[in-house]
Amino acid sequence: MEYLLSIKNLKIYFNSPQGILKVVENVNIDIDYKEVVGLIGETGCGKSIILKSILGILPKTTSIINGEIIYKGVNLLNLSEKDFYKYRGIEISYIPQHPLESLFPVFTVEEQFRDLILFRNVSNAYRKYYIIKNNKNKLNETYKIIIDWLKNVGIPNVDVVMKQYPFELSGGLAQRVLIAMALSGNPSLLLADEPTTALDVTIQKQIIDLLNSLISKYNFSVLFVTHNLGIARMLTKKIYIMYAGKIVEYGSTDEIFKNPLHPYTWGLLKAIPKLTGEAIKSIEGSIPNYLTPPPGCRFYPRCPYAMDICKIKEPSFIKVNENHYVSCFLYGGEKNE
Amino acid sequence: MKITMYPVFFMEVKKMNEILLKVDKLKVYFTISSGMFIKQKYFLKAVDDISFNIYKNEIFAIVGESGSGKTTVAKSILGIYKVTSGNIFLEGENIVNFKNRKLLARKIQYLYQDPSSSLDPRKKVLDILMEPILVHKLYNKVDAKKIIENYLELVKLPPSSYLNKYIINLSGGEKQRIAIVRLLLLKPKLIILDEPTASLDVSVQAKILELLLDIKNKYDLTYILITHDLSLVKNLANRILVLYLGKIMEIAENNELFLNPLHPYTIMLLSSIPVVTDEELKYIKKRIETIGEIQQLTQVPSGCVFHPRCPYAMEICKNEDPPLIKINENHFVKCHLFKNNF
Repeated sequence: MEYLLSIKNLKIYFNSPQGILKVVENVNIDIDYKEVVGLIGETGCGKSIILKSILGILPKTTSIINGEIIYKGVNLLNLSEKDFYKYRGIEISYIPQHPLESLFPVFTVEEQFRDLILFRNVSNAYRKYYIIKNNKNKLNETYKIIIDWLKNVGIPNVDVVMKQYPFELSGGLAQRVLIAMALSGNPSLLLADEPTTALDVTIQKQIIDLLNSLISKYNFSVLFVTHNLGIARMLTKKIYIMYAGKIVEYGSTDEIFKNPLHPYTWGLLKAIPKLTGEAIKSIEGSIPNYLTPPPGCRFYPRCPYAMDICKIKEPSFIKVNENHYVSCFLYGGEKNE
Repeated sequence: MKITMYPVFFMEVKKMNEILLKVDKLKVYFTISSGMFIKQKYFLKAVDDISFNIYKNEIFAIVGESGSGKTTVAKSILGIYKVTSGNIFLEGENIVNFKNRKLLARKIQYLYQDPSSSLDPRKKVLDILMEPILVHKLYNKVDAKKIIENYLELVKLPPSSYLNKYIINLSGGEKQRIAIVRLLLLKPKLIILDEPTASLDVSVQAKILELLLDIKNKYDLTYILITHDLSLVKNLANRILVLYLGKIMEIAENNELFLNPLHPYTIMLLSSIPVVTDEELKYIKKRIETIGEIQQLTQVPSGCVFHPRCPYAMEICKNEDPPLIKINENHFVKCHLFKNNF
């Protein structure tokens, strides 16, 4: 079966004055058509880097990317910058983390939205700028598109919001505008980089509900990056749990929450304050240094169940059942190797 | 049951030990002037008529969305914002617009949300921690270093390796620990925690919370916890105050609020928590769909400030500000819905 996006053996290294930072190591992610996938991990585990590599916006001079990112049969890593215009914002779009910082403050919502629609798939836009900008028919057309999209994302008084500058918007409204912008190209894949972290709980709930309704309406796939397991549970069907640049466990959302297997997943679940008043427990230690990451399993220095083999060998993925895979020697990984 | 309308500061009926801080009808208004030639002045009511008590050794949580005035309450207690009217008593002494900030700083301290922006990244840990000692002339330099080392050991940062590190080289959790030591050096009685874990990683959050609880027991502290994370409040706080647009919506004991939330806003907050396990869902009995956004403080709605978002809004809510209604000894709610029921 062919997936919409499949990331195969992705390795992302960065050159730094101290040496090579091995940030992402052998990551495999599959996203099916119309599937919502969560990518969960702490800050600094490489979640956002993976999103950026899918979009092809990592700095080319310092990063070394190996592996394959296959989107609808095309390896995105081999594409030239010119060819990427056909994908970025049209096939694959992106919702950033900080809504207010991601809109340009000196243009109104309408202006930036219009420019996005007019120049989305135009390479060397500066040459054609005046020709496109003076095309009255096209401007009227885009005006209607903008109004439609802003209404679709549940903005109450569209006429007012369109004439406003981003700094006049609240965080929730700005995030809705960004979602409208991201979806206006009818993408097949939406990359969401913690879109609710900067928002209040009530607004967060509204944005999640909005995304849920939009997903069922427009049938796109989502790769949802977050560190909040609660949000992932509300939105996603499949979850990848990432630690220090490696996937440690993946499976369907129900499976992972019912039967978490990796010690890191246990730690994450225990570290969240819960309404039941259950005591919260932290994970000892901190994320390893990427210059000299631990050989073998990257989690073993913090793992309470670490064995001798964890320090030497890297665990391979063990199939627990159809929807659940875990990379840990606790489940008999050494026999496979 | 008969209707009883008490202002909150009568809550000392409760047998809990003595009152540490008493906030009485606190109002903090900011003036805004607009217009280029003819200046128009109007008030922005950040905190409007709030009264509550904080008892010794308790954790008192203030909950609400951003823009509801949580931080303004805290900063006016600290004396950073000028109080328009009302009184704040710390151990019986009125500290509103207190002249001697230095003296106040030794009693009340503030733990900022983001340690990376509240600590100077170019300073060494030792210098950062020496500063409060020098300003307040607490100890001489030789003693000071020993005391700092003791405190660093308390927060589980080995002093030998941390004293000469620059702040910029520390991780978020380590920075927050340094910030905690900086407050403790002054031996305050009351610490205001402004979203102490919001900027930290999930795995580090729990550690900072453990540490804060340890310190509270060891030094007999009282905490005001400002947050919008209700699951955190459930785990830590003794009593909870729910604020919306500068007004008290509900004030109750921890169990009371979670088992029997009355105000529609509290229920809305509860039903928007992203939960991790199914067991937690049992704690959210009533659900209200979250609609609308918090209003701008310049356009505060008439009557009950929450009525534009409230699914139970009645005619009276648009015109009349509801009084604070006493449900029981430890539970007060400001809503027209409960006038008839009780």
